[in-house]
Amino acid sequence: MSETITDCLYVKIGSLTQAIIFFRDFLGMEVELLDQTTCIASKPDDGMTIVLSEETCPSQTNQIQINTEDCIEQYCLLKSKGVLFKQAPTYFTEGLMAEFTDGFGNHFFLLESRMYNE
Amino acid sequence: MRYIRELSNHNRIISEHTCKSFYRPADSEAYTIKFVFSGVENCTINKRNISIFPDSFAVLNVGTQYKSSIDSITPVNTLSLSFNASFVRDFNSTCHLTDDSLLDGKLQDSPLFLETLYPFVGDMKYTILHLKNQIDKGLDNEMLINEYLHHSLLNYYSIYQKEVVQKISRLSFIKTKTREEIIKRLVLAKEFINSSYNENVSLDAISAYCCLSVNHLLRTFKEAYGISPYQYLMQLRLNRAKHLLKTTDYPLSEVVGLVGFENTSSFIRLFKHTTQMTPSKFRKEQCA
Repeated sequence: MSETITDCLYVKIGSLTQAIIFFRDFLGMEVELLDQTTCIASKPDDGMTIVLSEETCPSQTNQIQINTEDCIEQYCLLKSKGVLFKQAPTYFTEGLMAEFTDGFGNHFFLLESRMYNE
Repeated sequence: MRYIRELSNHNRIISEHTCKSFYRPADSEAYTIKFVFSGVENCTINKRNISIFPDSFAVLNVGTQYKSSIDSITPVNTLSLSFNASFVRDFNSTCHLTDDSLLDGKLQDSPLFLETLYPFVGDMKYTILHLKNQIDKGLDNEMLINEYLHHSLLNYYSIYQKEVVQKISRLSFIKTKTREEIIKRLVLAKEFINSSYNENVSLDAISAYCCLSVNHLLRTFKEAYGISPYQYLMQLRLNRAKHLLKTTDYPLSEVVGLVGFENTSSFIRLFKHTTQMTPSKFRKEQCA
């Protein structure tokens, strides 16, 4: 992973309709339409907000980190909904991480942070 | 209270919450990993007595004779994962063989693990606590259970590598067979300390139990684990005292007695030296 972004993210998508289905139905996020090309997807429980837009704008990223309490549970849940994983849960020094894509070339990192020295 | 779930691949999970139970001597039909979350479970594995505490887990091979019992005032929370022999053989082959060998249909022999206590730490602890949490919520999704089981086996392999394979390589003996034999005896020494940590454990008793002379035991134990049997015993007592301080409201004097220290002041001194705080401050911070 080249960079880690957790707060408000700007992400480019190919189709707003398909993005709404992906972020709302697959990822379980709340989606609010801003205009005909842009919407905001948010996860109120962890304060994550993503601005999804069909337009290209500065500071857009294609790498999104989603924090989770249980990576294996989320991996199975998303897989059963049809999300395509590039990498099954794998161990890193930060914890357990899986990677999936959204079909628009964006990469999502599902990370369960683990404190190994506790 | 008992939760039993047998999967279509014949792997099985048994979770139990009980004050009293007794399992008659039987041959283990599958590879089994046994965990205890609270209290203690006493097992006899191939005629060796082992006590499983929440800081460790035990592993049994297929065909191992074992019996176990729980007899406690407070409920003991246990989890047992049984892996079908062919599942473990496939898993073992996937871990050790190349893609070409696997495509040729080659399989490794069934693995034979060192049947002993392993530290319940790191990824294994996370995986098992997540699984336990799901079981408590009434887990029914076979795909999810299989994923947890796959990861717990993966985590066990990594612990085995660290606790057995790496320790064997640290020993200075030339012959591999000798190193393996010494590790088996050192493991007996650790089991003995683990089970009788709250008694007056003497080096003579440990060395008699693991069939190594006192000098040989001291030298090889230090070589393999980097600490002496006495230091290992002190670490174990302190960790178990920390667990009691975190999970119970027993008075300090009782905790001290339960983990085998003779007097409270020497316990407080050692506790303060290793954790940089007093036991009461530790308890307060953990409960906050």
